[in-house]
Amino acid sequence: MNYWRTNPKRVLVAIVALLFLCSMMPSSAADWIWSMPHDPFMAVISPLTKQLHRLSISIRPPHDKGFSIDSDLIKERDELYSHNLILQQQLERANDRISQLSAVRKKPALGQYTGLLFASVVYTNANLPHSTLTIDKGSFHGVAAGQAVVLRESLIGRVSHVGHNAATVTLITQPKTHLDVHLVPGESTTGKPVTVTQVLFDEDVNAFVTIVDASEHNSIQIGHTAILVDVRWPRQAQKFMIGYVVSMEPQPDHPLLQTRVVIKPVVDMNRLAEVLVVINSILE
Amino acid sequence: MRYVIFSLTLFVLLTLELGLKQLLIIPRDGGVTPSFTLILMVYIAVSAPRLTVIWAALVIGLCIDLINPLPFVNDRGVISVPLIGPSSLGFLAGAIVVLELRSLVFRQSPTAIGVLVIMSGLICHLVAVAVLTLRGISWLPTDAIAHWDISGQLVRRFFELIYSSLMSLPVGFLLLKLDPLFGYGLPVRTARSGTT
Repeated sequence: MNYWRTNPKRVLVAIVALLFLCSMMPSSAADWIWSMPHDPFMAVISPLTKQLHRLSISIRPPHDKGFSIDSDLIKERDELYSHNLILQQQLERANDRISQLSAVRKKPALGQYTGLLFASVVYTNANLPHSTLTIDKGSFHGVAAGQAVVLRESLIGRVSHVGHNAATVTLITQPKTHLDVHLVPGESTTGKPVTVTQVLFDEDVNAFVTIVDASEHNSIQIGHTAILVDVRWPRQAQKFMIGYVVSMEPQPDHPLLQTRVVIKPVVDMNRLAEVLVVINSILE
Repeated sequence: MRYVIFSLTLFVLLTLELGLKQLLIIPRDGGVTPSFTLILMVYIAVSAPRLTVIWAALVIGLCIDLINPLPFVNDRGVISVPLIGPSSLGFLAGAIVVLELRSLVFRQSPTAIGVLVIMSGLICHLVAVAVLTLRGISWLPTDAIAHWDISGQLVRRFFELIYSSLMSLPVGFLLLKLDPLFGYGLPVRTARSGTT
């Protein structure tokens, strides 16, 4: 007791340390040690406690407890339902990702070691002169400028600026964008592939536009798919889909000689939530 | 302070806390009940000498640890084991908080006790929950508490604190009436006199 009075801080620190050690004691040891004081202690207070407990039950109807259990069960059931819903959404998303990856992997332009990285779209700016979107992956994740960004079999754009944990993607729907494409028959159309020198994105019609000779007009059909064959773009981006032909009209200036072909982009750039960045392979 | 009176009061309040649980329980977040012992700790901490407060807080915490066994899982299933330490450390921390704040309040007021119950109870429960959560760390040679949900515990304990604070108005009033029995012998500042 004298030591306690002269060195209270040391004693307090020792008590705190001892209590902390007791708190960290394995349950088997705690059960063995603390049952000894616990049992007589409870034996002392339980007679009065039991009387009070009976009194409590007589005042408060026992169905309150049942109600409590029921509400707990209902709450637990609701939590399980919501958890199940979240799991279903995650499963659906995982399946979607798998199908997307398998669709992209079929592209011959992608080498065996080409990486594919899912990135969430954090900001879309598809309506201004510089149509861009911002993704949540950057140089830390292996993203580099010039890499192609795709969604399933469609080309979205390419990385133009890279930060540590974010990157900016310039969309193919940026006004005045020129792309070299092939027009190939789609699943529901027939015909032979047609080489088109360039398609130009026209913001007025919100689609790519090209002028072809009327002689080639017969080989192009509505529904034909435009795929990228542009040497200015990375090799991994080649053969990805740009859009599909939605209309063919005579060119107003030379209606008998030329036809105006309108190619609608496959993807609505304003509704993107997740895209796939084609990471260059390590060997390259 | 007269330790016999303290022991008797602690015994009565522990009995009330356990015995009236069914009557006072609010069926929310697994059942919310007031803590009379926390009120007693705060009441003693505003009046008694510092060393006495520390001892009293440790004793109250030990009693709380003994009467509230914790669930653990072993090969026999879920068992209840009394674990000494978490509440003792929590009450100790709570008492130190009251010791630091008691010069700022009028100790004759049950309202002051109610406010201090919240402040010290916050620290008390945070310490206890932190210690119990530490048991879940995988590299420690301990076993985690069964069905331990830290957020659920914090929410339930917060509502218990509010409930205890409300209950401290009548209980604190009664305890303040017992001042002559406790025999603190400590000059205190009162609301009426405003002096020490």
